[in-house]
Amino acid sequence: MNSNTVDATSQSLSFAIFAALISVTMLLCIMTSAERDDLDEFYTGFRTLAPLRNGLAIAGDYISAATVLSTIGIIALAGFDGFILALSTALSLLLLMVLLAEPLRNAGRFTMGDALTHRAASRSVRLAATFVTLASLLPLMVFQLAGAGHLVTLVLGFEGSSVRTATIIALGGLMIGYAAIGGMKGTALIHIIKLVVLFGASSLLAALVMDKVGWNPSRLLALADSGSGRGPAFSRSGLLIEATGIGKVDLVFSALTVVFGAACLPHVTMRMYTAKDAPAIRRAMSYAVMIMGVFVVLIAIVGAGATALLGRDIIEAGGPQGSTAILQLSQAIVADSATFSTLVFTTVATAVFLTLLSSVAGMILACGNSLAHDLYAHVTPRRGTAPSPRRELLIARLATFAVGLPAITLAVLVQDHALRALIILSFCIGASAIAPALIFSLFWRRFTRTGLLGCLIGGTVSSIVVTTFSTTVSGTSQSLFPDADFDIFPLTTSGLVSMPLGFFLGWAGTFLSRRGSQDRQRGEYRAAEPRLLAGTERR
Amino acid sequence: MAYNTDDHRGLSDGYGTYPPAPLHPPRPSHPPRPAHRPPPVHPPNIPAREDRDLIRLRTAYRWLRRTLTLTLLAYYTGFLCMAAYLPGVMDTDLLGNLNLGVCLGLSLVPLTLLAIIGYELVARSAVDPAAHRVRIADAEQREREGR
Repeated sequence: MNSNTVDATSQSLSFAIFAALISVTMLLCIMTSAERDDLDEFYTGFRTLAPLRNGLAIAGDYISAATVLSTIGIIALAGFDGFILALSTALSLLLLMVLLAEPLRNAGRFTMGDALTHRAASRSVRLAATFVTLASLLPLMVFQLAGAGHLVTLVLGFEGSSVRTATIIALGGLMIGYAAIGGMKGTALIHIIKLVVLFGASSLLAALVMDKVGWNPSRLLALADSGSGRGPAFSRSGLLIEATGIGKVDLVFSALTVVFGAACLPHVTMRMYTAKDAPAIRRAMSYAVMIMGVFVVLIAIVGAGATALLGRDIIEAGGPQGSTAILQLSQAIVADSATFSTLVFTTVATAVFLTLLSSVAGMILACGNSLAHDLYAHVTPRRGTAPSPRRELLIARLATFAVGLPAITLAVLVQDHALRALIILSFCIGASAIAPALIFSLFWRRFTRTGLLGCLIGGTVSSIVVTTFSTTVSGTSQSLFPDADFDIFPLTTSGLVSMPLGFFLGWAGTFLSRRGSQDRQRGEYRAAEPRLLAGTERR
Repeated sequence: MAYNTDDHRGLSDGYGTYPPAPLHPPRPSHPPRPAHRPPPVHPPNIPAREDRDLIRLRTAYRWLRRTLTLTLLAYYTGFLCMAAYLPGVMDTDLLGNLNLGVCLGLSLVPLTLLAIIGYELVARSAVDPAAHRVRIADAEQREREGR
């Protein structure tokens, strides 16, 4: 799709709405920002968010632009395999709720480093936690910033790569502003607004698709089968990952990687610390998981509808890996009424714009908090000289720039590539480093520091290495570098290798530690257990 | 209605009058609500036993966590393996064009809802009261140490 197909009315309306949105959300952000030099307020919003609002904010943080755009694109192009990925994303949040949410709420204070050092303070663990937070979120931020450049110039009808670069820089600056000014409370508010708008827009689009096919899901699937040009293979597994011997294992482990990784990413887990107590986070997660469950059905309908009504060729022409499918569908779905068509397109474009803005802001905040709280306040100072809260808050605000600016630079540099590899890398680090570290450190009493560092560093490094030499980075036409050819592992996701390795390193590190070290961990766990399970006060 | 003894002269008990009706303390209209309330401000008069309560809490949490996690993961892994290794079975048409794979996938949504409801109910009845007792025991311990 080129810019000529977006008509002038939609363009000017979208531009006006985007400008209004930026002003209103910025105003809200300033009004809710931390009033005093209080760390609790900036990092967690005083834990005053009601469960419903917190649930909406969690769901808003979780449904990132990467999820919306790339999942709908994959469903439209690869059918059943894309549907499996969408289901994995929903299941991931449910597992976070039943497995980790409540102990995490009790163990953590502000960041992932706090949760991992809940037994005993440790500088090396804090350092590793900061490293893993940055390594897991930077790829996602770069993907979304680069995508934001494409989408916004597409919607507004700008052309040329210099305009796109300027758009990325302007949007990135805006996202840094939200994170630096609003803190946890401000970004929560923007996430809530974004979730409501996005949910409304997807429901509208899904309803229009179902209306086109006469509210008959069977007919939708039949149309999608023929529109995909692949026939019944569209509703079977095998279009995304070839059904060879290794491909089948790869499919299972790719989905499991998303299940373990997606909800463990630090920008989601940091929202666990904002609840008042364990029942409050449980209720908030209930809302978030329900929203996510419905949302998966909506994006499945939208994705299949895009293939059914537009056809595969148009979606493939629209952009890399179908990431503009939702916009193309919203433009084409109402053909008979120009006014209504403009309305639908503008609504969907607004939702996508808000999603991009808010999810990157949430990730910048998570990284900035980790830099300020883990690295600056707990690793660099000498023993016993913690920085004053006022200073830490200033650093936290500056740290959002330290995270945002490199992300913007990287996004500008790589904006013309097919970037799905970056999402995969993020999820792999989540599943191979963060998931084992959190699960072991919250539930295994003998888990030692060596094991924890093994999980964090080994999982991250193995994810990066295996992903670099996998088929997502080189070797196929869909890869990041389609011309190069250094795919040693015939895998799309590194999860098959790195996820078992991350868990194994945690286990091995603990068993190789000295006996006394294990017993000390056992004692420290016993002291921490009432707080972990019942939320008693910190001693 | 007030009980007037003068109306009952025919039922004399040999002492002249009936004794006045005993003053019962007002009975609560419902049993006290057991769980999920904010902790009381006053210390309880029966000392809570920390160890037993903590063990009970640990067992309840662990059971809930393991059951749900393993069930969900087993169901989903089964679904994935069927999708990868039994494409013929997953391609069976159930409702018109909707094949078994899509139906099983969509069945995850109501399953999610059931899991949430089950988790909330069990956590409220088993976990929250035990956690409350552990918090009381912890507060008492602190008080003793403070003295």
